[in-house]
Amino acid sequence: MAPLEPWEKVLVKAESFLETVHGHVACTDCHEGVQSLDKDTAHEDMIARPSEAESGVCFECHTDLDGVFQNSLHATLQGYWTVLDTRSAPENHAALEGAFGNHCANCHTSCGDCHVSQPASVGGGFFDGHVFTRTPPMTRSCTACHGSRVGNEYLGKNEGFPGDVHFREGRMNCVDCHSSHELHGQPANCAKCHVAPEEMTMTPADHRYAGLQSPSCESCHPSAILGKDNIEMHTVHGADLSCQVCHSISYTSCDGCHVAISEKTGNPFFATDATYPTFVIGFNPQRSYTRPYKYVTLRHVPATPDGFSFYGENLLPNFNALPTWAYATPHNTQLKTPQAESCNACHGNPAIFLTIDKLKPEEVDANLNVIVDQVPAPVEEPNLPN
Amino acid sequence: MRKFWQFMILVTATLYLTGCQPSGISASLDSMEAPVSAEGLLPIPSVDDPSPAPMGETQPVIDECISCHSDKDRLIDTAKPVEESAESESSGVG
Repeated sequence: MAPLEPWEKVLVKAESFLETVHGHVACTDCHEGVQSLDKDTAHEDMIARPSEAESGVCFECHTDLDGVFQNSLHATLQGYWTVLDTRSAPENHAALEGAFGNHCANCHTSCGDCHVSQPASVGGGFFDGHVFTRTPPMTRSCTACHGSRVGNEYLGKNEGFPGDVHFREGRMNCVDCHSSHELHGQPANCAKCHVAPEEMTMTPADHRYAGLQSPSCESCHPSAILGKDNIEMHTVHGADLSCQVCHSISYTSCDGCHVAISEKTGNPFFATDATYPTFVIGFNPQRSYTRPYKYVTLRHVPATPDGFSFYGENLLPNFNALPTWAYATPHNTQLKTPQAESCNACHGNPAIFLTIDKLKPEEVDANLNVIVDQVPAPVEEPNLPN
Repeated sequence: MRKFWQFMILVTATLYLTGCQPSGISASLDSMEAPVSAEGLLPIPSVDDPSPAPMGETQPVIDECISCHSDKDRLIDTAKPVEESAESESSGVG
């Protein structure tokens, strides 16, 4: 979508907005400032983006999310810190905080970024004249941030590759799978919503694959996991393969992201070395009760040992603590895929597995636990009905 | 003498009937008096109030902020000049 004009970003559709619940709240209740027809006077001490203010004005009415959203990954960006802290050392944390503030923190998402205006990272501006929307418009909100990989895959914007079947055939929006719990975070105290005899607590998510698998394909396709659909591949493989191993097609990987501050302008900038389509199956680095798969799809992430060298020497001394081929859930699901055409399209086909020869020498150590050392042997093809 | 007794009977009957008057009337009259407005309470509408809000209806808030921010021409007139921002030096996919 073309960027909005400055006036367009702040144009309120009075006739629509005033009929909504939020339209019955005085502007200054949220934005502060002063009631005046003079612009400078009116804007004195005004808060342009009230949901980002420490006052937490949204939670005065939306009390169910108070103490919940603040712990969500959208608010904390804790996923970045989980990775940075694992690869770094405590003495480097301060230097990385500076880098994080300059290059990563603007991915922080507030209530308003999803429910009233486009995210600041894509220029801001109201979706619809300050009328609040319960469901964020997918391409102006969700994929405005999650665009270069997930968004392009889902919407079919990668040349030569169709979009996700859920979008092509079902016109499904992100929130059709990604629930409010997932997007807003979950309360630390389960009993806040669920009545149970025992006290249950959970720590806030520290990365996108933390905790239960949510959403999971099985929520809508339960027969696939239970082997009730008479599809031999589902029966044979069970939970050995993540759904994406058979049902994803090529997706985007990136290499070598470096960040710095421009000497010319003083603005932060980044540079990535390469972006390319991949389809790679490897061992599951996140194997757990809720993600029991032996094999999963892996995406190369642009992390690199000297990516933050502008901010200090050797800031990621434990770089190899995490793989650069990371657990991935590509958003380009298809019913039929090249690797699932037959058993031996996958079995005995090293081209689609992460074997050691595909790695740069300096990345071998980081990926030891995801490298497939022995590709599954070819099998006799069963006589499948046409 | 006869008139005197007739007068006394009339006075006694009047007093007797007055004593039977239910006390609730004066009590309900008291409650109909305008309450004294106390500090911290909402002002009580009076007949002099020119625009009492109808019961059960919420009035939309129309304020100066909205009157300006819903006027495209005024927003264009009062918009800050767009500063030429330096071209981003970022390269590759973010």
